[in-house]
Amino acid sequence: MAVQATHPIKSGWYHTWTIRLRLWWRGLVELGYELWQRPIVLFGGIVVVAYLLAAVFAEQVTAHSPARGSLLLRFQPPAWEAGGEWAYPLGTDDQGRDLLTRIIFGARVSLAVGLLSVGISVVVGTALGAAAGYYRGWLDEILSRFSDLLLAFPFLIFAIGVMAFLGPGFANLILALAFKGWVEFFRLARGEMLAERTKEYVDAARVAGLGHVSIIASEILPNIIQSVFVLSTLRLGSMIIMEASLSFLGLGIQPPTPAWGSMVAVGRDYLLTAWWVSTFPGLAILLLVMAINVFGEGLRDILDPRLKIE
Amino acid sequence: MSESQPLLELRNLETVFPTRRGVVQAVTGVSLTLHKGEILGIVGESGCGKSVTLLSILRLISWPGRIAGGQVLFQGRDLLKLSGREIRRIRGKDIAMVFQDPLSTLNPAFTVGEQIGESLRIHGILADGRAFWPWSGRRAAERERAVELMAEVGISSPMDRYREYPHEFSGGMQQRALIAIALACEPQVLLADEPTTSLDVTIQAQILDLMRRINQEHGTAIVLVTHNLDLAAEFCQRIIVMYAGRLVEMGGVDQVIESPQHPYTRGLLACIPRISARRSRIEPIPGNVPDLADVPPGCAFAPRCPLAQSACPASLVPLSEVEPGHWVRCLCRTGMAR
Repeated sequence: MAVQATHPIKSGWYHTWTIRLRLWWRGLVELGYELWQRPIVLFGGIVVVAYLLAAVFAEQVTAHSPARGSLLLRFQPPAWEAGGEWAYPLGTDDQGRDLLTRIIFGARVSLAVGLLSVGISVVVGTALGAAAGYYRGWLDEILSRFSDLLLAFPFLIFAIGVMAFLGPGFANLILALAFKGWVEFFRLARGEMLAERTKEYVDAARVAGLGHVSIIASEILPNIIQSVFVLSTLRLGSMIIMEASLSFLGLGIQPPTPAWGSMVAVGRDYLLTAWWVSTFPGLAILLLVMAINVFGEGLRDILDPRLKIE
Repeated sequence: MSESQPLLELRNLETVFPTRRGVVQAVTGVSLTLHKGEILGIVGESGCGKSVTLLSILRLISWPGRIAGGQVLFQGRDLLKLSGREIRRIRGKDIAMVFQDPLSTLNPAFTVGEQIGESLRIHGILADGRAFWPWSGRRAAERERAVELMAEVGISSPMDRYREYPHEFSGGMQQRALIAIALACEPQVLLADEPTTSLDVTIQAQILDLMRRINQEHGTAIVLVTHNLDLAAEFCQRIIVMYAGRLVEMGGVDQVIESPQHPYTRGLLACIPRISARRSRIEPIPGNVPDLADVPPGCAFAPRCPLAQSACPASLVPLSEVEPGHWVRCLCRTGMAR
């Protein structure tokens, strides 16, 4: 049979990559269109991106030092209140530090802890879940029982316990959160793997001569990675709340590093005289977590083809 | 049949699945040969061990099932004795397989073209010592070959369809894509497990034509597993009839279809509905397929057989040659031939 190509076969890596880039671009454009149809999701996405930019460029967008203040300027009210000035838009805290500056630097801590702990959870949980779901047997048995054990603890109590054991600090905080965070990704990946491993394309891959590890990594994983991605966006919000809770309790990030949780904790003592000290960090947490959740759920709706069939 | 060494030979293959009810004998003592360029059909009802026989050839029986005995000789090498790495080198390269349901056999996460190219990649075809970098030219060569293969199996405008995902293909096109994947490494044996069952009749004919053309042009030997005796009669050169995990009749297509010797084969032929026949009723075989966990030691078909004698269920029935190349496992025929 004659080859009936509609256009001549072009070859070379340049051509391959132009096609690939065009496909990515098409995907991005489609995603943009879907987002445009859902203004709330779009708003959530914009807020998340704004937080990310603020966290990355914290030094550039702030005028004051996050750590050093002047006691002469302590408890300046927000700019629109009587006695406030626009040099300190959200006022100052008990040590005379600009609140807005500290909130922006606090975003850096919150997002770093959230992204790193979710990242570790995703990698560890998905790898173990995929292996357990694929191989079954004693590996699955041990890992599943261990995950059940971890699930039996409430997250906060567990994290408090681990932090009390490890001691406060940035790395320990991430470790404590990831130590329980991986379980959900484990269960998700394991469940999806159980459903995928019996499908015929897995047999076909074996017929083609692929080994088990290649089948898991290059055949099945691309089919389950989407739900893992969606879960990770939703978990990011809860990890940030968890970090704030631990910092609030004094077990997380230690002063003078600005963290929203510890800022709320400090302001609690002055709630009647200087309400803004704990209110604005609290609002920063609320806005970010809400935006992440709205954006995450919106992404799930857009990406999950099962939800598109109405 | 040629007298040379067969390409693929099964000797007393035995595959079992331990279950709670007992050990299910899915395949019992199946021996067969496949020569270069031959088309062999394996026919039987659901659950008679046809597919398990195919899977056993490639050692794809999943736990707790296992191959309990016998030999699978491919070009004189026993596949059952190879290491995992060695058998993987044979899978897909020397012996390829096509499955029944093409949509679920294709991976939904990749384009059809990528999956055809992948089978080249697994076995390092077109590698020529080149690493798999975007700039080494291997990917481009792979894509060209994939497009060539797609054109060969009759997928129109293959350049465009290279980038489409499996669900964008029709059933017939999906099956063609699967055949293209199987053909990518130019295998010597193509195992086809009911490749046309999920397709409608006109597409079935096209797929069979395609497979016949591949057989003639590349000399690929084909094992076609089907429950459709008509289809096997038209497509194959030799036919094997299986019942309850055993081989009951084997012979050239004319021998088996024109003068079936085993009562089961006759029953199968009698219950094919025909438009042309005056007879309005089809004649089903009475009774059911035996429980494979509890097959009588003798003839498994005896309880349903119109010619059954008292000796049938108890005594071991050997395969006997009733005419050159035509083998039957039945006490009556054996007696007649003698």
